Amino acid sequence: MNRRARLALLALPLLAASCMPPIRVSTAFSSRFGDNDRARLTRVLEQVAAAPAPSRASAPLVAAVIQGEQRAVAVYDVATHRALWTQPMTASSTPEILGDALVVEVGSRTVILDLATGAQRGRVEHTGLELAGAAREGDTIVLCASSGLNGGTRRAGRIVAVDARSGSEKWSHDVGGLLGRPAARGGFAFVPWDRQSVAVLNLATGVEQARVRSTDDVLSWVASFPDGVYYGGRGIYRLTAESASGTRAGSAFLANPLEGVPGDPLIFRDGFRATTGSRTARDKIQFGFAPQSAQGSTVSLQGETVVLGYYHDVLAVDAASGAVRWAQRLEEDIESISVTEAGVFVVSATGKVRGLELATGAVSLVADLGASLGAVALSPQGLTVPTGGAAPEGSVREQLVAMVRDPDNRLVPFRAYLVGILGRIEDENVTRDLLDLYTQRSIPVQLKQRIATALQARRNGAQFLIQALQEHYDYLEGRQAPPLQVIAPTLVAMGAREAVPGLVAHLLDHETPAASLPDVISAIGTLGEAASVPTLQRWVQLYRADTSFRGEQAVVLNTAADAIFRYGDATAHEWLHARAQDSTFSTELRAHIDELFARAETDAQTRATRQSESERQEALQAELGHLREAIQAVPGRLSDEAIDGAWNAHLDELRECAQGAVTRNPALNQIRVVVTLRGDVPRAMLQDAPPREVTEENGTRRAATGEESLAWAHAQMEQLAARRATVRLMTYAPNDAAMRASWTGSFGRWSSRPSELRQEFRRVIDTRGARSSGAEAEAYSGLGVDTQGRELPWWLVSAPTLEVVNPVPVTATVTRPSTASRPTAPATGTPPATGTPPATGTPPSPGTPPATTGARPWWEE
Amino acid sequence: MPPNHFRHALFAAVIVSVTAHSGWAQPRAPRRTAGAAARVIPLRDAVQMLHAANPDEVREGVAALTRLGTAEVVPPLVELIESGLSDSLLDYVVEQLGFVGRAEAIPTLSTLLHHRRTAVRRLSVSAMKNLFQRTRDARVPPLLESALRDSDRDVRGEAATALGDINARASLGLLQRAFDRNVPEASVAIGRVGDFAAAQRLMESIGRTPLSVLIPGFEAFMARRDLTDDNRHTIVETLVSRSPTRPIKEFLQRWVQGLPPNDRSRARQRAMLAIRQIRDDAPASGGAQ
Repeated sequence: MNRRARLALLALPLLAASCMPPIRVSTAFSSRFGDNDRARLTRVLEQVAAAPAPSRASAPLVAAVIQGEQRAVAVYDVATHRALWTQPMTASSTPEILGDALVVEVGSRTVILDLATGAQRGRVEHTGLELAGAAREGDTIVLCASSGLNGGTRRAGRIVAVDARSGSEKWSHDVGGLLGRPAARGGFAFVPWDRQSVAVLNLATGVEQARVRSTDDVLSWVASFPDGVYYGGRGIYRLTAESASGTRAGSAFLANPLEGVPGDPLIFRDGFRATTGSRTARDKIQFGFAPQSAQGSTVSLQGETVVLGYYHDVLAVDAASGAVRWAQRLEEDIESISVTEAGVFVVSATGKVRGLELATGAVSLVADLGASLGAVALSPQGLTVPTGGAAPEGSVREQLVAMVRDPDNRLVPFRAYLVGILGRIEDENVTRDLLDLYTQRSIPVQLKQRIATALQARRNGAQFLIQALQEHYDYLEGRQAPPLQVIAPTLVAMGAREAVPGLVAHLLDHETPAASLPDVISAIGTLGEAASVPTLQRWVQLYRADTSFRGEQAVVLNTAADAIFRYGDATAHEWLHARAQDSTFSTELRAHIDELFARAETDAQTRATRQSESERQEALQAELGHLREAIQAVPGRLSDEAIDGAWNAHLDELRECAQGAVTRNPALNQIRVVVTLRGDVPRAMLQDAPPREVTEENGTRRAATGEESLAWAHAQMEQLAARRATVRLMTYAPNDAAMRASWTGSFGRWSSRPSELRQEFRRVIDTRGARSSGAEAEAYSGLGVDTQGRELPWWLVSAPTLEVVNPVPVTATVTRPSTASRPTAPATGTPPATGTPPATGTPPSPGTPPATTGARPWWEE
Repeated sequence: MPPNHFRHALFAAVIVSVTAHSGWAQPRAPRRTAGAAARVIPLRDAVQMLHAANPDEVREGVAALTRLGTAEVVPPLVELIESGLSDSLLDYVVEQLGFVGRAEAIPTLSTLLHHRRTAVRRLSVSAMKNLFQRTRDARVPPLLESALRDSDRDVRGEAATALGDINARASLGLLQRAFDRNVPEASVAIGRVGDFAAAQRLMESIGRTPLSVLIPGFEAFMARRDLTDDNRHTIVETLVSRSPTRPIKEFLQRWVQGLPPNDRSRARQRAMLAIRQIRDDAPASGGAQ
């Protein structure tokens, strides 16, 4: 190939490459990217810490959408109360002030305006997507737009970085998920992603540098504050290296101290919810806070306070405990709320900017912009709260009460929420406040129910309720009866026995609504106990035949009967019983009294049954305990001591028996005895848990009763005990039926516990000594003595161990055992291997018993 | 005795005589059943009858005790009430307690002012009134005043009427409060117990309160003998000037007809003039504010 051809070949791939579209490599939002990487996050945080504080507008500004027919975007200088400029446009988002630029969505594009003049610097098209938000650092603005922010099934997001001066694109990413409002700091863009992650992108290149993914929380926003980057959902996370844990517990986290606020606002503006460019209820319900420098895994806020703006109410609460610090009611609804170290600043729809002292809630007018505003963004840089503002009057309790009294029915859910907060305050005056609120005629029904609930949860301030009992209906004075259906149960919960006279007065007052009487009567009974019974009896007696308590109202008399029955003694029960038989009593009451007695009887039976069952279970457990002990006590083998004990207890009989054997067979040198113990306890008997089910005769199965279980345990114990007597003992001896019978009689009832294991022990009786004459033989007492003088069982002694009187030589009537059948004497001095069981089925020694006995070999027995 | 004084004394005697026989000042006697009318049942037997299972027999026992009317009959009747009675029987016994008219019944009647059934409360008020007219027991007017505060309009009306009937002048303030709170019966009661100032206050209600409510009160005022001719003249003049309506004309006609023929009072003359002035087709309601 010549040079030209080689060059042509080299050029081909280059040509091909230049014609092909560029290969896009995912540099961000990749599913393969390692999230919660502490090292990466640490590097990001180091740069963030080194970065200067985010640039803010030089003067306090308000950017807003002017509402009305001629919609326009306007920027106001709060200090001069003047509009810097107004640009007619149909903005569809809340404007965002980003340094010297202003970003706002208009239809399907986002425009970048000059903050000073309103001139358009550039625009970004995002057809099909909604602007989630924008952030800026340096000359770079990042914008995030997504579809599905306000619903829908399509989920797509786009992040674009543009030049803040020209609007030209620097880089962009399209993502198959939702991207929320970003933040920018330290050369990074922090982008909330799919409510689970915060992706950290290099602001210059768009390459992802780190990612935080929560494993136990929802991440809905991210924001840059002077002391760092924060993110979160319902709570506040400070971005630290610990954020790599991906958990709430492992991160620097502060929970929202006010959960459950109606409207369910997040503690920071939801980055995944598009704004509308108009006034919305969501804008009127906002939290506000200002982070301050914190160390370690903590989140610290200015004044340790979180502020909640709810329409025209502003609430400041302790960030840790949620305790209300102050509650201020403003004249107008809030459209925007901002918290700085200088205070709380709110903007109303009429363009009034107000400042509230964070510590006291004292409110002052900062500026009146004189315009009808919506979708307001406040840049509070440099704003201060004027001194001499009007602080909310009274204590926190009184401030909350005033808010609950607010007749604005838009706020009924929030007023109900405040009732809950009020009810949790320990001050006993709250009880009086709640009672007062409840009796207000202007209070809506749903709010009343919440107040009643809060009141019934109170445990102090009973004196106010008792005082309220002094009030009675009065037509002339226009006075209503107190809310007894709330007061009476609360008094019961408080255990206020001193309330009984007041309650009785209401029982006897015909103005007490019938609907409240059951509560009143129950309270009288519960608090007055036995002392209240006579009063209730008189009252029941008076109305026993009256039509006042017929039909649905019968429940009132029935409740009184309940109280008499419950708190009355035997006499009261007799009284009730007699009334049940009295035909002049109302039929409903009589039927109820009958039911009371029947129910009491049933209850008594149930209690007795339960008691009986409880006792039975107790007995069963005790029995099972014994059974387990018995089973545990069943030894695998008999100990030497046990065998010795039994053997020694029968020495006299053995001696006599051996003596008889020698007498019958003078040639007998040894008597070899093999005792076989065979425990035959079935495995089923070693079960210590009763069967859970029993089978009926018809084959059906059902759960075993306690009684049956107890019977089973008894039977098990009895069987186990009975097995102690079923130990089989077999002896072998030379063909001497008398001896065999004697020994069987001696050991037939072995007193030791049985087991399933076969066990043998062997004994040899040497009779030679018994036959010898002389003093030596007589020296044997039947028990040996070891070298140290300790007595030993006789079979451990090699010499004759039984003192057997040598008989007169027997005549031929005695049948000698054959030599072949004569057992071999064991080595003397060797104790029998009582601890070692023999191989099963292998006779230990003596060979075949004499055929003359006709009996089976002993080992077969 | 000066002639005028003599004339007033004679008139008062006539009034006392008339009221004594009309049943206005004294409670009406109980109606007797045919069977019980003739015989007087001894106390013990009557008490025994209260324990009968037959309600009619119980009722007869109650009637017998009422006829006896002594202090001893009250405890058995109270005991009967407290034992719990059917509606009709309780109503009957409460009514009879009023006829018995013994102060011993006041605690029980006081309790019954708070009975849950309206009829019982109303009858208790009535019984209290009857009892007061016999006993003049000072405990009664405050109890009747308390009934003015009742939630039931009938009970309030009964109480207002009763206070007027017993001439409870001390209750005037409360009656005026009741009148302001739309207890129409208080109008009559005020007319009976009120002074001329009360009448003037009543006149201020012309135009705000229906004439059907006010006129009975003015009738009561005009029937009073303790008002001077000037007072009555003022009343007539005010009524005519502020409400020249047909009901006022009819009221004045009734009043004039009840006067003695020889009455030459200024009030009568003004009333006669008004009767002539007010046309027959004058409006049925209305009046100056």
